[in-house]
Amino acid sequence: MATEMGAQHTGEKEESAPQHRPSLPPVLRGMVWGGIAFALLNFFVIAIQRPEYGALVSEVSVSVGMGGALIGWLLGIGGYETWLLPWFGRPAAWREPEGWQRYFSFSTDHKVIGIQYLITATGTFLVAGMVAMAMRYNLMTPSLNLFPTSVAYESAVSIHGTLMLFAVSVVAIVGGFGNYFVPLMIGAKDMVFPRLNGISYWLIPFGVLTILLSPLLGGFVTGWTGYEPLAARSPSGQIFYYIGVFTLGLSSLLTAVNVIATTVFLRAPGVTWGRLPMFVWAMLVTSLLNLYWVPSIGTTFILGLLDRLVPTDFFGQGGLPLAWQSLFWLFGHPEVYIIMLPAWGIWLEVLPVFARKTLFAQRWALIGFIVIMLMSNLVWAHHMFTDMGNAEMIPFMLFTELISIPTGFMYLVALGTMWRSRIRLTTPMILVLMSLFNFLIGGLSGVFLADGPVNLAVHDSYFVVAHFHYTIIGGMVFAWLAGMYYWLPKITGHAINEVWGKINAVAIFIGFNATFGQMFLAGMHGMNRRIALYPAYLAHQNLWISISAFVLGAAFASTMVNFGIAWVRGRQVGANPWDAKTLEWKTASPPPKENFEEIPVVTEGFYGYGNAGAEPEIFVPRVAVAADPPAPPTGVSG
Amino acid sequence: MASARISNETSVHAAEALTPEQVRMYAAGFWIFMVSEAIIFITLFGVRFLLAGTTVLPTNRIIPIATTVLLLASGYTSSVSSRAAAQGENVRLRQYVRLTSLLAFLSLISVAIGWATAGLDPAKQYGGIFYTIIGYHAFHELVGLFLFVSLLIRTRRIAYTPQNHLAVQGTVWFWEFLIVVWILAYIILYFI
Repeated sequence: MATEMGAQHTGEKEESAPQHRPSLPPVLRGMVWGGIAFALLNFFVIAIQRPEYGALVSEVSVSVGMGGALIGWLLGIGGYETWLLPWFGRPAAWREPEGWQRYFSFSTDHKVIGIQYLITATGTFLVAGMVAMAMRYNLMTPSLNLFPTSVAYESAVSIHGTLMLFAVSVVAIVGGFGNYFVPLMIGAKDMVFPRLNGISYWLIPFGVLTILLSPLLGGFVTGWTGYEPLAARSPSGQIFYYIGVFTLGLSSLLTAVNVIATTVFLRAPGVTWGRLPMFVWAMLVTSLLNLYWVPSIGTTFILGLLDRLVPTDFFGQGGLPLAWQSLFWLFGHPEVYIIMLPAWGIWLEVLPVFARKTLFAQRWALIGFIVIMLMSNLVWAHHMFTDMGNAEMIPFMLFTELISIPTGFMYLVALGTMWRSRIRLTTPMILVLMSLFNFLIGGLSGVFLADGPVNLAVHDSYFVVAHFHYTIIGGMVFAWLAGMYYWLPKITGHAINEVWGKINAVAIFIGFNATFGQMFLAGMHGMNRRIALYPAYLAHQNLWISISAFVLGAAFASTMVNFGIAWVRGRQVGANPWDAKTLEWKTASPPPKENFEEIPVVTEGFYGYGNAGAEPEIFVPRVAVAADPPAPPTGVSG
Repeated sequence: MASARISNETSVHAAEALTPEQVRMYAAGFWIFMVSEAIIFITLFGVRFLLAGTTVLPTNRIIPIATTVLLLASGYTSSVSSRAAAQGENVRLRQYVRLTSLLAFLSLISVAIGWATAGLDPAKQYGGIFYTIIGYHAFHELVGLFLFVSLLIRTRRIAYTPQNHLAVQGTVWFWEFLIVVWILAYIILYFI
């Protein structure tokens, strides 16, 4: 095993070559190397270009410089010792630091990487959430009252959307829980490519910082979609959008390669495809979507960048602006399922544990996953109904409404699992139930939106904003929080305060529904999305939306405090605090260096709560037990 | 790779011993990654037909023939080097990797000349996608050249074994993939 070899050599290094320890802390060294690379390439290009008025940066020089900065950053963070030296046959001189410093350097341990992803996604979520709070503050009145210009407001919208979509919702569950729990759940010691995994994490901070730095070049006004020809008229910050999202996509792609290879090749004996946990299935299906759509969108972003730099004319007046929209949404709608599939995976992990019942119709959930994966490729043009003839709408309308059927399978499986069960209402379970509720609203409003006539009426209004926040916050973020409450005891070894957990969950639920429920109404009353100034008659409603949004923001902040307190001084928990059956609970909390003392051998499925000898009484009809003991428990067992 | 990390750096070590399952696993991981590489070019070819239809504008047609010949020759030498590694003949491996690197470098030079003498307008659809596809391919060739040169340097310290010569195989697979893509790009850009 590569990991064993690594461990062995680290041991040798301690005696023979301590001088290889880098002189600067890795993060600092990455910044210095990246900064030097940026400066050199930037001024090299400027020296060739000689722009008028003696400008020190141009769009071309910044783009080239950012390419160099990315390489410098990755080498500085540890890529030099772990990738470049072995590449030329030299000994890999990297020694992973111990203790908290591990989290601030290149690591090949999937658990360290998972925590790095989780913390980064949480931090980005809070930053992008603060941007949203600023947006809501500005929208409390119909005029500008926080941002100096409309462009500044639109840049804030763009940064909020881009970060939330590309650096939080596709990163938190896939990168965080995916890296941490896929090897644990299939009984593996690590991923197939640990070094690739390490490098794929360190792309994320670079991408996030790139997008956050876009205001230095004037911000960008296109939102997360980057529509042409608006992008051509956007300030120069647009190039940071292309570069930042490209970098984040690269990270998703490398993670996808790792997850697919790991799931196929490193399953422990007995973890057959039929027994594979639903979260791992969801991660596998998500990774397949990432594998073929992320390179496509990356290429599209390069084409968009070339349109600004060369300039070529792919999406301008000589080209096809709608080609951008098609290429973007060809990725962009599967992206929605890249976000939601792992969230459904969490639903299906949490539900049977707290309902104490066998996962109902597990096969149908799996069929749902795969049909959704395939059908998500056929729905993209429903984002473009305003640009097409009526006849062209019909196939996309049909497929979009049909995709709600396999999505409905998730609900049937969830309801079947909970049917006549004695639910333990713990915080993760409550959050999953809330996620089910919210996503139902988000999904049903999506069926309406896919309908041509309704779509044309509410296109680009707050109805759409409410719809996708209901799916992404309501569905994914609630499931992410459920996953945090469910798995954080495993990750940290400390329990989270349940009382505060429930209070926070209810506060988030109320704040969330108050905010985005009202947005449906605001949209139908004529509130347009992405605008800083709006007609005065909407002021009252916007004021109340803003107040609800602040409640939501405070509730999220309070939740983070609860996590922080639990991490530092929560009560110690054992290996299996929830009495769950999947493999990650069969090892200590937190898991040791290579996860399992010996590779487990699995002999039955992970969701057989009904077949366990310990609690058969759940499957006896309660009425029959109370009134008439001899009644046979037919029809409901197992 | 890993077993070269032993104290005396200049001596040659056998490549890390891998079981057949591990070889299969790493090779499969490589091909999973190559799916995404293929998607990049599928997207670019799609954009070519979407934006420029089947337009072909007159451009330098001599140089791409030279590029094609050089690439096909390098494909042959690279596959010989892979076979040499499979038989554990590290001297022959080094010879052919060196030869492949040279041919790859020459093909890159010819691509650069072709690029410089194409005489198309990048602001027009055909010109734009022409320079983009050739440029994307040239960037990948540059990566391939880096892989071959680094492989050459690595073979000074690491002796690849018939069981584990994945590093050679991966480099050669990547290069052969690029040759297939070049032939497709050649047909799509110059003839259709």
